[in-house]
Amino acid sequence: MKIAARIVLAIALVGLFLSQIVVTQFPVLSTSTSFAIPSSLTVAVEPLPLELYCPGAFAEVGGESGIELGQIDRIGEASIFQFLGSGELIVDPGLTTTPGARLVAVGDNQSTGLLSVIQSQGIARDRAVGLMATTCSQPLFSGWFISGAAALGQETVLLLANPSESETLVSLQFLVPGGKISKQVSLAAGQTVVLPVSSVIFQESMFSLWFETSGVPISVAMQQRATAGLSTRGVDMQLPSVATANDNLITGLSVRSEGFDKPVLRLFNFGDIATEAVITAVSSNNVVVLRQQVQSEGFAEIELDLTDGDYLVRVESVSPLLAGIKNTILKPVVDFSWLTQSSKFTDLTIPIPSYKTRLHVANFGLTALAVNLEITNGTRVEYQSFEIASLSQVSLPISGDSIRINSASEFTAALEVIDVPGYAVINPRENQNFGDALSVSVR
Amino acid sequence: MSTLSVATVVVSHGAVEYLATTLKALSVQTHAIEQTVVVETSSDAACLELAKEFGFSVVEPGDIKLGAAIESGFQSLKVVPGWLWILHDDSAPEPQALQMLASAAELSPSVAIVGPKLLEWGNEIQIQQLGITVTPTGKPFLLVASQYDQGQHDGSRDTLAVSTAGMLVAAGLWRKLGGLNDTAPVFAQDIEFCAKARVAGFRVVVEPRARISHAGLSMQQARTRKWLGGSRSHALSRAHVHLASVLSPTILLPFVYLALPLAAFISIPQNLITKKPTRIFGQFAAWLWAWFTIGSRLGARKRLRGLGKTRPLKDFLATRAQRKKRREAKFEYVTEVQGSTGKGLFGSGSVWLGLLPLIFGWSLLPVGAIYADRLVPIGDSFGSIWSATSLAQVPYLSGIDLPTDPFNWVLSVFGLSLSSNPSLALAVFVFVAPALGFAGFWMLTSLFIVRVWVRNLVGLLFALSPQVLLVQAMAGVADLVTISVAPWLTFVLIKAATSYNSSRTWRWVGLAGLLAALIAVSNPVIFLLFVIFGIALGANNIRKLPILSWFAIPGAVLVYPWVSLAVEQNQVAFLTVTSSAFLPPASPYESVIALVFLGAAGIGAVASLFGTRLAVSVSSWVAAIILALGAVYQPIAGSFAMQAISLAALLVGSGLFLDQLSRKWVIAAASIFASAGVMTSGLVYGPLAPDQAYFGSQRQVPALVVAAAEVDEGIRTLRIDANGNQVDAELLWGAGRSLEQTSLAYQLLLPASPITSELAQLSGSLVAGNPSGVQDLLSSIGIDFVLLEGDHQESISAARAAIDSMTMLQAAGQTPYGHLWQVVGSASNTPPSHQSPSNRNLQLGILAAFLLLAIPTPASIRGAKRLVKQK
Repeated sequence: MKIAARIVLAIALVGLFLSQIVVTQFPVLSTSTSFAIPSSLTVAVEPLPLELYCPGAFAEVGGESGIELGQIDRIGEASIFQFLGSGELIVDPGLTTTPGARLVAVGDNQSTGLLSVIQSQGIARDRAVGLMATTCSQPLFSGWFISGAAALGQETVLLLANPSESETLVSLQFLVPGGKISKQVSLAAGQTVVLPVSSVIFQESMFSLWFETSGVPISVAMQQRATAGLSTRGVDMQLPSVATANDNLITGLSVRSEGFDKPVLRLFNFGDIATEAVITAVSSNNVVVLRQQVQSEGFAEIELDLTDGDYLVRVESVSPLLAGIKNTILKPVVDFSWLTQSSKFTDLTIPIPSYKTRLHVANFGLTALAVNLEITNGTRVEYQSFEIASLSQVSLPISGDSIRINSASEFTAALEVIDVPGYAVINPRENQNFGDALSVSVR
Repeated sequence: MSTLSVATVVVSHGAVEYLATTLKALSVQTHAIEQTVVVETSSDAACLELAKEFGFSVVEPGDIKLGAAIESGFQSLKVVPGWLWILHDDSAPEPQALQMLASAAELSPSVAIVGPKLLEWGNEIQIQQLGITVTPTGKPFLLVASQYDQGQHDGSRDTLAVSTAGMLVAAGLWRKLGGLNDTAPVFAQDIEFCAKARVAGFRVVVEPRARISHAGLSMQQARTRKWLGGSRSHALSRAHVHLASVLSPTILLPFVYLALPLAAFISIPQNLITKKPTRIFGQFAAWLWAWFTIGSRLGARKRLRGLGKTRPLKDFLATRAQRKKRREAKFEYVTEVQGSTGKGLFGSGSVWLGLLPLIFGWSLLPVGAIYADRLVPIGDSFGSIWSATSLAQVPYLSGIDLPTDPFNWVLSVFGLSLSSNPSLALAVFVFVAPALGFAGFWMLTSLFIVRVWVRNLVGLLFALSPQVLLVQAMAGVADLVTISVAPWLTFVLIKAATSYNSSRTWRWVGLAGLLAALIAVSNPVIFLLFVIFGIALGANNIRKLPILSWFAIPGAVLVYPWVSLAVEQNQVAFLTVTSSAFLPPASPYESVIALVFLGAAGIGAVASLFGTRLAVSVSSWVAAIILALGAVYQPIAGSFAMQAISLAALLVGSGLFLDQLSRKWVIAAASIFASAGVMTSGLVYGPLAPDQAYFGSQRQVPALVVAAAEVDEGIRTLRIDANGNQVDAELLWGAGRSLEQTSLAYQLLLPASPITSELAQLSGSLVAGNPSGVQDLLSSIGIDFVLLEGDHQESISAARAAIDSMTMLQAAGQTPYGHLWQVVGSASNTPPSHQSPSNRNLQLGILAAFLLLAIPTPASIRGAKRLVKQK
């Protein structure tokens, strides 16, 4: 074959070979065949009765003077505010509790719409002044606390309760900077244990706690008391976060103390790889974006230099993190509250405590959100509707017995209580057992 | 000088060129011929014209059989001669042939039939026939065949029979016996006729001095199939059966007929192992023919025995010594001309280079069952894998009409190779696959490339290319099978197409069939391309095409159920994947090193277009282009195998180019460049690559379930994963879902099952902790264990508490696979119904047949055994 013919042949063959680049552009060839998705069957199963647990009244360690070793007293009573929907309360503790109270309801459509409970208690002791308020949630098998502090002027007490009928063993893991300390606590059926953290760790200004039970779910609450010398700096009670998250949403941060203690964001990375957190705090007139590196199995605390206002805070990271904000107020008393990860709802009902209360509803979505409020006060029902723009929140004072918030899209919400006894932020949780409308995919 | 009066009948059947030679030879006979009649049975005008040109009488009786044709010629003779000389149109006598025959006939008045020495047409130094007899079973037997004529047989002798080609027969005898029996098979007519003459008291002799060139068009299947009544092997088998019917003792006759089917079946493996598979059909056809035409056989037998006693025939049957000599004669062979040059893989020491892929892939040294993205261990014994191979019904839920993964055939091979731990065999294969690919590619290039260093270089470039190592790192077993087998299959197909005899071709086709089957169940698209390649090779050597095309049979049969599914579902995409452990789609342009390899191979292949082996170079390019274009289509799985084989095709071209290099510095530069590429690729995709496959335990479910499954293989485990209100439920059977039990078709189509709703309800009730109806559902579905696993800890914990509250479930504790409960008082289940694998028996039979074909039998192929003996 002549050389010219061979050159033409070579060009043609190379051209044909390279034509695969063009061929990839044909949609017929680039279309992939997707696997069939198993059809989900909706199964209606009557769920177990809905059970909530309120942690109970303030636990005072060391007696009123604080120097009586081993002395732990439950002080006063926590008020219980409950909302019961179309169901029956088969275990009703009444309006107050000291050691902690179990509520059990049966009925359809388990959610906060069936039973929603909060507890609150104003504390006015020599060494503790402030307001403790929290939702009463379902007992858990495991959970996280980010807010631990056990240094000078910082007291942390764990309120453990086993409302079930079986004994269980609780594994506690205190994660401090540079290490971890484990402890196991046995809880008999129906037993309540108050565990001062000082008996486990010493002089750690920050720690996280992870707990897990070996069998039945339990109630765990973290009570905190802060002092500065002889001055009280407030009390608080938190419930555990269920899991770490790559996208922590925190609702209801009100900055009212500019120039005093700034809100402090605490982050904990329990993973093996360091990660960077991107923190976005948004109010109606201020947006702050921060970046913070969090080492593996490490903490980071950042003071949020924010102007007065109501903020929603988003913490995004590649590795999942725990996030919480300690917010302090000056008036009417110096008090603080930890704000932790908010749950998302499309329908939320929550009782309103008998304090001055503000509702924060936040929209972390990308589009505006239409929200309907239904405030019940005795037999009277008030309705309100408003729209929340993307990445913003609405805060408004509310009063009454309960409030129902619903929307077509997901929102987060928090109740902020600032009244004479002090300051607390109530972070509502969904109340639900498996059942009702389970979606089951069979492979 | 003989004074016999002889008339000649030439039976012609359209072979005008041979007829011309025959008539010309006839016209110069030294012995006088009273009349010559040409009987043209195909009414070929050219033959008729030719006969007239020679001045011979012509008879045109139409398309009749040999006996009738000779008879019509005999009847047309003007004067009835004393002797009749029968010739075929393809039998050209030497001038003294008739004279010699006639002189032999005159020696004794009892001689009534004289046959000549038949020589090969155009190769007259070789004896084709010198008298015919039969074996004791009635099989036609040539006393002398395919021997050089050195005068060693030149002595007139009595024989049982002679061929009708050149037969000189007394006209009176012809009349007495009624000519040839046309109800007998063609190859038995002359023997039966001569046997009748013998029984009637006449002698049949062969006269070697009478020499006739015989083309043997019938034996060579150069005549129409109608002439023979089928193929040559068919005609021979019929002749065997006919003569057995006619000659065997009466007492044995019923047994002969009853044993025919048995003989046909028993002869299958023999015919396969002797690489004569075409005889199989002939023997089956002969059996049916004999059964349905038994009347004709019995009639012929009666006529023979009516002429006298048949005992004297025994003296002429082929003796044991003659038969042994014939068998040994088959061992003599012509030395095969080596297509390749240089030393072999072992002789050159290149086999040691196969260790390099093992060194680079050291991280995959098998230490247990191998896991990867979709790869899970296979069953713990060959039996368990085999029970899931080639089923028409996936034993999921209550049984679903979908074929199991075709790749399970390959998994069965692993199971067979290491039955005690098939998963380890799979891991070993993943480890050694690039080395196997290297060896195969080296062998393939040895067909085109002379220099050993070039074969080594391109072999390593292929085996250590990113295109191969990437697949190994991801443990893409189906792609690895294709990649490592494809070079071997190409090599074997080329060997089959270029073999010097049909036995050898059949042997290579047997191997090719098995290798192609491996590829078919690993990648049907590449299998299809190989079929096209095989046909192209056959088209290049058309005589080989009928044999070569058989190699596709095993693969086609194995992959047929999967292809049917693809057609039924109208999903061509299904043909691109055959295993649940497939690799995900990926762009071929993602790896820079892979592109460098492709570019370098392409440059070398372009350069080869200017070399001497243009056909091979262009063929490599065509293969590379087709595979590269095919690799674009990745609807389900990545086309890694196509990309690798496309690179291999280009590397063949590069090898051709390198093979022609002569300047040392160019060779050194090319070697350094290629070696650097090999090292870079080997390191980057070997030790430095992130682990994508790992080793673990063979077990995939808790030990308690495995132990229970050993007792009752119908054990069913309900696996539940809860995440909020979303629950995933899956029914596992036996000791867990190993790779062969994972159904790709089921994953792709997810057909509905009648127990889906029951399973959903049961799963919902369990995670909700509602015992209502749970006991009934557990019993009706036959659940023995409940396994709760998942990542959503809160939901799992809640579900765990809920299931703990069920009194009909006994907690078996936390296991590495999740929380396990055993159903209290569960009854043993009927194992999942495995639909009768009738197709599998057929598939297995075909594979066995090709295995027999593939077995190298030197005695029948190369004659090595004979050579050793002779030494």
